[in-house]
Amino acid sequence: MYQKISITAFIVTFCVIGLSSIIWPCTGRLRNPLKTLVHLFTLPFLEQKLSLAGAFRKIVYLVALLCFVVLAITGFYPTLVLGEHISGYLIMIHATFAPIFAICMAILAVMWAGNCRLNNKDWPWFQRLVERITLMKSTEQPQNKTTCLRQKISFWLIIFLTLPLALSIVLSMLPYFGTGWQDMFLFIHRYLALIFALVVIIHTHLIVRAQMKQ
Amino acid sequence: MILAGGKLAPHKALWPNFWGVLDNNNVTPIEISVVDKALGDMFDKLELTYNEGWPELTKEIIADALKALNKSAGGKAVYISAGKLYNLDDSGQLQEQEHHVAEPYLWPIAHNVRPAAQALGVRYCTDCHATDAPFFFGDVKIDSPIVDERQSFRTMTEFQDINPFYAWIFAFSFVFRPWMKLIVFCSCLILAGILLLYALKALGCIAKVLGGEK
Repeated sequence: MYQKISITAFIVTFCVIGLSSIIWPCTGRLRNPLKTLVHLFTLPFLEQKLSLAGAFRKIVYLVALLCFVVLAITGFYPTLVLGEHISGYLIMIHATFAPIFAICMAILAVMWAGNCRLNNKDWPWFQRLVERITLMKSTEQPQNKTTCLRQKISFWLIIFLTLPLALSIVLSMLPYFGTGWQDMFLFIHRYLALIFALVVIIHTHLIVRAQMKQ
Repeated sequence: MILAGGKLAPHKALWPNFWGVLDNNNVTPIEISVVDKALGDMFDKLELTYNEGWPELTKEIIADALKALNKSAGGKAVYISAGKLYNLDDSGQLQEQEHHVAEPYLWPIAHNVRPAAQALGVRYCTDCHATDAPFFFGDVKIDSPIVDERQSFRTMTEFQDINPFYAWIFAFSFVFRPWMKLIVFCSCLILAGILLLYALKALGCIAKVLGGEK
């Protein structure tokens, strides 16, 4: 059941991403594919113009991304491809990268939360609604930044999902819960991991698109 | 031992000890009356010492017994003991070999319910997952009347059909497991703090707007 749901969810997500890229292509993408490829390839490298904090933020982001890839492969490969539970050396790799990923997520939450705070520029319709309710006109002009809004929402979703995702598996390791609870925690962890992976894929896609637009 | 579902479960073990006839890699036990008739006189003359309830048999005694049984058993006589098959080669020398018939009889302890306080894993993960935990690294004594095999042991990893190095490195990873839990809990605390902080900020904004402030 989980295997089928997961495979379907991944296929649908990748199809949606592919379709959105075709329907709303990034400007200049088709004009110079070689330049685009070079740009994409150099995205992981640190830019010289970055400050120390900016460089640290990018390194943490890249480490988190690497950890996510490792965790996703070690977590989903046995379940989706082999059709069995994670075990053996894979679980050791999974458990080794998990705390690193948790640290990275905590650091990213601290460093990115301010930038990803939702404001009235992100939601012009919400601002209009507030103006109608309160009968007050805002002096700020709303801007339609849907891409930015999606990035922010996906960021907050990632932060929000990390919490139960990490807690569900760590709590199951404590000797306070019986077998029934452990099974329940594992069930929660598996489905949250699936949702989390999908959100991270979408978030990464949005970041890459935003970078390419710049 | 690993059950059909892939779970490890404690088993009772019984090491087979009997005289038999080898026939196309199968061993058929010889009837006790035939054994008694063929070996009764021989064993009556021997002054055997006893250890842990077993008569102490040397390999010379087994070789002599097999020679005697070969004449009356109606086939190639063998002796099953200590997880091995003993028989005489063409030159009449005693030889020993691994054989599936000599493997211990194992059955899971299904109804031997323990109080929760005595159950494995109730204290810590290291009840089983420690580099010196008997569950994985214990030695199982092979029960046999053969004097040379009295000090023979088989490791638990052999019964579980797992690589000893894998079992050791998996157990060793549990040395760092408390650190992992601590790191993940701290990360979760930071994440929860960030989420709470921005949720309160959002609530503050809503309260201000609904309160009539700009």
